[in-house]
Amino acid sequence: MTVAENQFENLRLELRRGCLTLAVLGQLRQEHYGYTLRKALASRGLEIDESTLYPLLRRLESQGLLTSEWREEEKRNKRFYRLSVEGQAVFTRLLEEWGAINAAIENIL
Amino acid sequence: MELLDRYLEAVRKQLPWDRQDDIINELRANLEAQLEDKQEEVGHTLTAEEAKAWVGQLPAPRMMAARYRPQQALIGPALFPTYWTIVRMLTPWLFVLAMIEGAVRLATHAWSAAALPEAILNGIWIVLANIAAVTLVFVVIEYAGVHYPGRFPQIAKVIGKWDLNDLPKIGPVKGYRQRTFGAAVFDAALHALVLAWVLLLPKYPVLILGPGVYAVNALPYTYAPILLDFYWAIVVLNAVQLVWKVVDLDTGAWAGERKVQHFAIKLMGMIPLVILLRAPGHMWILFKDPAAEFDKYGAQLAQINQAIYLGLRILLAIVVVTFVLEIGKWWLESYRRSVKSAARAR
Repeated sequence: MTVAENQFENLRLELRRGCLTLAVLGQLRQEHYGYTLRKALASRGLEIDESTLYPLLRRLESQGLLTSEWREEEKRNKRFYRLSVEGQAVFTRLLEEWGAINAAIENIL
Repeated sequence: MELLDRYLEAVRKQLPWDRQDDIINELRANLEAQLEDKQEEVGHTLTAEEAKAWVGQLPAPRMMAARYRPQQALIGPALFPTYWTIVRMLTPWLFVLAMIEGAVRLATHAWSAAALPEAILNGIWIVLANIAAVTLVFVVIEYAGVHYPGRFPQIAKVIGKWDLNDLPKIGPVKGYRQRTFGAAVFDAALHALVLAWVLLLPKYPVLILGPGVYAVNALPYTYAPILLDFYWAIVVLNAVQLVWKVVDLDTGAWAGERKVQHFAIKLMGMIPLVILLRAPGHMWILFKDPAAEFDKYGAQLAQINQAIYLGLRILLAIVVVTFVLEIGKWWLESYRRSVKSAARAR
């Protein structure tokens, strides 16, 4: 990778990092477990690495934005996540913030 | 699948011990679901080669585990600028302290081949140990601020505080100020006078000792021949300097910064010191009449010469270290100027 490509990759990752939390909170308005969440996001155009998504779910849960429970499904124990009440409130505010940023970028461009 | 089990075991080993089972159970469920999808896609249970390829494309176990740990930094981004400022302010003073300690060590211990390297290593140790102590203090502050934010709210307040009075003043840029031709001529003329004064000293010691010359003459001591060598070294050094200044006046080099000349003269200035230090038996003061005076003043003379020896060694150590520091500073300034010029040219 050239220096310029490396630089672009770093900036691209920074840009994505900011959007991932919003995308995950948005998708978890419906209940998912890790793999189905990953598939759902990928089908909507957002590919996320396992090593990014699964720890992110844990972190959002530790911050009180998600709730989780273990359930057996298809003979396998899976941990299902969904938005908590606080998570819903934070998601709404983040969405507004996202809208404002989007509008600002549109104006600049 | 055995490979998946081994992968999960590798991740487990790097997880926080109290959350290993919980995380691995969840990860296993997700990865097995992923594997099922893959097998559905290919229409059969994965072969050994296919299993290797599938597990191989998963993130590295240490990367997978790392993201489950909280972000760790010894000194976080909030405190780091303050820490770095303190280290940068402290380091030059630590070097000065190390140099003084080294000079005293060299002067007070018996000279040996290992003395100088030991002094240098000791100096490096002084600098590193103090920086490590400062780092430790900031690590403790960071830890307290992160893990006990309720107990230490002052930490965040202190970091964010600043004072308008601490802002640097804007003024002329420090650097070489060009002198006039008149100043250069005056400098050379003064130097010629100094050389003339030095040349007159052997015949007229009153020019350096003043009225004290009579008291000195009454003492039972005289100077050792080495002092004559020292004297002529001073004369030659001053003569070389004077000639160089006159040549500069003629060639126009007087207008420049003359750093090379400055460093060359400083280096040559160490020669008289070295000559003095090589005095036979480390004796700079002798008796006028050794047979008559030794019993009475022998011990006193030994003390005088010992004190001169100690003083000369300390002086030489300080001169050498100051010279090295000056050269280092000049080199750093030249390097920064060249980088800035190159950046402007681009």
